[in-house]
Amino acid sequence: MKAANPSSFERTPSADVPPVLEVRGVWKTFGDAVAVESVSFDVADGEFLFLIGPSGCGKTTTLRMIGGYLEPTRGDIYIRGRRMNDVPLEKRNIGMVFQSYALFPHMTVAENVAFGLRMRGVPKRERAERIANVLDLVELSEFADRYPVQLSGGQRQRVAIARVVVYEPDILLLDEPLANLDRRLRDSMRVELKKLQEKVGITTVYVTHDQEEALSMADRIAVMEGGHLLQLGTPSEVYNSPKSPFVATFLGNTSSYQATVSSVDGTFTDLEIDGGLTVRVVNGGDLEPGENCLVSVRPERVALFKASPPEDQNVFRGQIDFLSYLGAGVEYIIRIDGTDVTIRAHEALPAGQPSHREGESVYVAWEPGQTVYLKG
Amino acid sequence: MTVVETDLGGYQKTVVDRLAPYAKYLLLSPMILLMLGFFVIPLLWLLRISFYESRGASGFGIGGAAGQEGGGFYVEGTWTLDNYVRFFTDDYFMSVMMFTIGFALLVTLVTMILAYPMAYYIYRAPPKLKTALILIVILPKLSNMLVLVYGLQMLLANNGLVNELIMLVGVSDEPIKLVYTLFSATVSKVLLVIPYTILVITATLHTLDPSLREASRGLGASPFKTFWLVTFPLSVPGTLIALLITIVWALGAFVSPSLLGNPETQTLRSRFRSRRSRT
Ligand SMILES: Nc1ncnc2c1ncn2[C@@H]1O[C@H](COP(=O)(O)OP(=O)(O)O)[C@@H](O)[C@H]1O
Ligand SMILES: [Mg+2]
Repeated sequence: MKAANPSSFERTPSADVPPVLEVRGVWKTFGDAVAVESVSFDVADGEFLFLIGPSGCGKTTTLRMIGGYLEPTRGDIYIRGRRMNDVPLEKRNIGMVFQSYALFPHMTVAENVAFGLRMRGVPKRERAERIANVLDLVELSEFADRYPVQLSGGQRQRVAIARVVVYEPDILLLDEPLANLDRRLRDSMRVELKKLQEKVGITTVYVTHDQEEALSMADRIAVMEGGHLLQLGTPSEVYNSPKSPFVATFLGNTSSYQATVSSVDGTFTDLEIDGGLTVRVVNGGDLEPGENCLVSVRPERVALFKASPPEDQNVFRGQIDFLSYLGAGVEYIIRIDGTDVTIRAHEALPAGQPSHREGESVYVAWEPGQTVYLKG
Repeated sequence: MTVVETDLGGYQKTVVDRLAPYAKYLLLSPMILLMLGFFVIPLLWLLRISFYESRGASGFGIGGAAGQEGGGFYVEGTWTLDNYVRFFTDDYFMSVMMFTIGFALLVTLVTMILAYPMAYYIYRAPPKLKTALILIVILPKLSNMLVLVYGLQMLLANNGLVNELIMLVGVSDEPIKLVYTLFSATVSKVLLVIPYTILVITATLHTLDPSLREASRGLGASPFKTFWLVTFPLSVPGTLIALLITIVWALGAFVSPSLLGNPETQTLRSRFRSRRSRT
């Protein structure tokens, strides 16, 4: 098992500051259907937490329960230590950015942003000042008197954020805020959002089904599937040390196989893949011979060699079945000789031309430590 | 739109080619023909007749049938403004017109006051209740208008159910005159118009993005403020259409006042006069 890459830019919640948000054993059922099942997590002050999972896994439902738009069937939600279950949503001081933005079409940008301040009885002069500041922050100052229909998608989205950031909510909730934007805008808004969140320092829960968004922006990621929270950790933890097959395959590309432990010796363990390959992994000390497990390896950890592959690695000879050109890189699918096992390898292309061709015979190699295994 | 005419290699545009872009207007033609034949042309004809000289006779065919020498109640082929002068200077005609307008405004006011809350309630109701309520609103429209008005006449009669209830409860010892009053005329007209008003407002409310209401609550507005600052202003355009429909319908009031109103126009006129002079 690969240890997490400790990187300096990842903030982890510190123990001395109490969490801003605590979700404790929360369930939500609609009739007989269970949408969210026993979900628990904490979000620290200023943390950027991502809820990620496939469509229908219960992300929106979880977010709406935090915001007070839905009542949990069971379980408790605390904000700054205060139980929120029976607090009506207008009393929660939470900022929710809807996927549709939900800007008031009959109000100008400034009036939309003023709404939350008016409801909090902020005096007119202070209101004007704070609106000006926040519009400056999202670079929409010259659009203050426009109506939402007169704005582009990206501008509307920034208004939706300004509208809630302006009253300094305890928690910012975002439901797939970039899903309605085109690709280029999405990429630049990703950077903008992350910068903004750091600048304002607001505790944020962000829902997405886009793993790139989650990996690039999150302090921590909570992976959900079928109403369950499967794993919660830093991006590199969930990417490099998935605790379940679902997490392993959902985040990023991977080649994964069912395998049986064939022999255990000290640091290394040999696993027999169903197709007939033997793969070597670094033993975490928890594998017994005969046990079943899932092994996987990331395409970017797999190297290709025309000849003389390195020793002490997992090395197999195979043939390139398929090559897909991705612009910044190439992905190869290689079939291992004498088996039906295929493996993906990723090659970055700083110089432009792929090093291999379809049909070519190559050696694939990766370090045993790069193989992830999951028991069961 | 700018269309660049290109040389199509000697291809000559046929008549069909030139007409093709207008084909979509064919869809409108049945409706337009109906409107023209049964509404616009008769109306224009009526307008023309209004400028004919009167023969002085008051009725249809009195003094001989139309077309005969000296028959009909107008003289064909003449032009005069006399009819208009008479209409606008005659107290009787003016009072009828003022009553019509006043009655329409009253009916519209009552209808709107009753319809909006009902429409809002339907909008917010859970799905099953919503269906049931919409059915209840439409149901009176399945019966004939005359059946409805006569039924109301019986209900409001001196020995009708309403008066029996009034006496049973003890509000009054003798029946209150309800039928043939402005009250009963208004009630029947409102009942006839209100289903349309309710349906139009309900439909308008349903076009609003429900997340707007949620957003408003999330930003700190109470349910009432959410209604007042978000839902209501956004429903105004559709509600104005409902208002327009109601006014037009009420202006065309004929059956209700004549079957349930007071036949003595004199009383109606004076009642309306005194009401008007007070305001
Ligand atoms: N109001 C509702 N009534 C019934 N089922 C619902 C409702 N809202 C969500 N669900 C169901 O709950 C599950 C989770 O939905 P949701 O939280 O919206 O998923 P996600 O946001 O992850 O795509 C889905 O199966 C969905 O069909
Ligand atoms: Mg969702």
